[in-house]
Amino acid sequence: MKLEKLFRPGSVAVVGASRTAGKVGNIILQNLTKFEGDVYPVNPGADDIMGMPCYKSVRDIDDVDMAVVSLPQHIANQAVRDCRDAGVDIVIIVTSGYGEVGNTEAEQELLDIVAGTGTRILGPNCLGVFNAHTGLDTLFIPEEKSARPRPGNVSIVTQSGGVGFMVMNELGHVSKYVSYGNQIDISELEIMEALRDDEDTAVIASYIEALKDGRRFLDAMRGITARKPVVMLKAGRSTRGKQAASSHTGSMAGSEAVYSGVLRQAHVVQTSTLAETIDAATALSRCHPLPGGDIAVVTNCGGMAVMETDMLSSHDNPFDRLLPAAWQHRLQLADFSPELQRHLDELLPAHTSKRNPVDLGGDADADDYRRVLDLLADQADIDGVIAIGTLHPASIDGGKLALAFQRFAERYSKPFLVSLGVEIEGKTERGSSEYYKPVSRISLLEDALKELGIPVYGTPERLANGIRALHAHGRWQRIDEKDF
Amino acid sequence: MHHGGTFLRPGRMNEYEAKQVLRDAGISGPRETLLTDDHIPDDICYPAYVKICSRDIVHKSDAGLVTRVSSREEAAGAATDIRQRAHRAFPDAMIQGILVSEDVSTGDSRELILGTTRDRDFGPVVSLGIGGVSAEIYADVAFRALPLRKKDVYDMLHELKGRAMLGAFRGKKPVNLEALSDTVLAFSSLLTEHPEVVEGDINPLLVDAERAVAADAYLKVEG
Repeated sequence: MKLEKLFRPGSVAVVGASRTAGKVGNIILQNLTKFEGDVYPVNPGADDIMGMPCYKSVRDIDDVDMAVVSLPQHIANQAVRDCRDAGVDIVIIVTSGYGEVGNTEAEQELLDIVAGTGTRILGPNCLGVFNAHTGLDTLFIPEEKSARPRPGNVSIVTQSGGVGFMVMNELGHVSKYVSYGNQIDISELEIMEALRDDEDTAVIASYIEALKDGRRFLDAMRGITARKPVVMLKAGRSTRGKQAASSHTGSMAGSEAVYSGVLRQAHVVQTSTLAETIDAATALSRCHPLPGGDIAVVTNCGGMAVMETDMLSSHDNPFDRLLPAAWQHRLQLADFSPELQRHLDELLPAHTSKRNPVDLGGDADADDYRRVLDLLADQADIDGVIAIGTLHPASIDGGKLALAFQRFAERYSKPFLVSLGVEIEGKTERGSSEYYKPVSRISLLEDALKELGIPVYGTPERLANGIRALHAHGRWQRIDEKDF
Repeated sequence: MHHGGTFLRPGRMNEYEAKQVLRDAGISGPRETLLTDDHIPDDICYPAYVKICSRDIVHKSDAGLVTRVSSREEAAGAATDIRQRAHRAFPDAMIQGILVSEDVSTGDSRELILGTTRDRDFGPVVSLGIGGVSAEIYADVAFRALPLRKKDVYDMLHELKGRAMLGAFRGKKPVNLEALSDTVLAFSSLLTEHPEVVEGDINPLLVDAERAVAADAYLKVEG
């Protein structure tokens, strides 16, 4: 892998390491104490920091794979020169004040410094890299402000460090995170190409304002999406949004309609909001492929299922029947076979709704879910199952429900998505920040299900985001197979 | 510039020239004749359109320089009339002649717009959209970068909100999907072979159950 050292360096030097709590060079060093490789603080004014011996220059250290430069802009380029002379493979420039504020001379100087050498630059104006599997963490966000996610199989490639960080936080499980900022050297495409070959990455989720080289991106992207799903939020669509993107990462965002068409051409799963991006990555990283569009819904809250049904009922356009099969599948609620209908009639009490969506009623318990899910598991003409549970009824035991879901997920080889609703347990004093934290039985249960690899959503619309992403990627896969 | 064997003269082509280039690329057009002396030949089938043919006049219909005629007499009158009007409205325009073009629309015809532009990020792109008088209002159009594959054409069609009008609709038969996709792919090949074509469109591209025909077109060559 070409950018192997970007994700798995053996050693990291922090150039501009600081003893002062709260400084960027201090936070990064602190975060790297969990890193499994060697860490070297570099600061000419200190002998040791956090008990680690400190180096005057990166040139005084043997064999540094990665250096993180967190210095003021006017001295950062000299530090990059030192890194090049020391033979550092990857230099992450956290420092801002470059192209994004019009300082393109300083960026050109950086490119001249590393030209023709083995040294590659990530950034400037970026957060750098996080690898949940190795503890590599160059992000200048203190752990106490935001705990890092657990190891997972989604990798995040982001032009905005902050946006990518939010995606990572809400996903809860990630493989790698790369914030590339102004991408003067290492491009978003190179990072994605490296992740294509990364065994720990099943899904790439990305936030893009403008591509570095649109033409190359399109040519290479098909090779990536043929291997694993790529979810992309392309921002900077409005005229003012384009201007904001330009002063954010120094790049001009292009025409929305053309971008959208080209991303479809490249078989990218496009999203337009942060929530959609997170929901799509959640489903794609945790679900089996969706073989068609016919979905079964089971619930103990009828209203939730009605909303989910509305969101999954796409318009039947007669023209689509003229197109090849890949374009004919649409998301809809499955029609149950007469045999399945008969089984459900036998199984469920009179006051429940046995058609799709199956409404078990407010007095249902976890066993009712288990029995219905068992029936749905064997249906060849159902392409995916959604369980929308609410934990509020007295009859529902959350732990047993989670077990029923786990059992079903283990035997079912098609997508299974769960929503448990949202609740805020307001036990603490109103006005305290804790009051608004959704700490509840639900979040604990959600956590447990996520740990089991089951995609869990708070609301029906967010679950719909997930299943739409599965559907979109499923279509690209079917088109790829046909190769027309 | 010279690519792929054929030379395309730099600048904007008139309708007749553009359709010749498209015809060579495998995109069919109506039977038509370019008149330089306003003498209407005998072998025209009516109804037909009489249009001004000039590299310098972009919006012919808006300027009243296109007339639908149903006989040789009407055609002769329209030719004189259009030439006079063009001289008044565009005194500086070079006129290459009067184009008499058979009306190929059928009861089943639907209007699409097939175009190309240069995109800053992706280079040459092809656009396919729903045509007609409201085309600009709905802006129902899909873009793809060159080169296009067949699946891209299908997916462009699937992306159009108004695509139902291409299926069985108000007694009309569904359009010939293969003829339509062949035309879009032929357009894509032409643009790949001639990267000097920087702008252009076929508007309308008339599609029915049998075929797809470029009823009007323009192309612009860099240089």
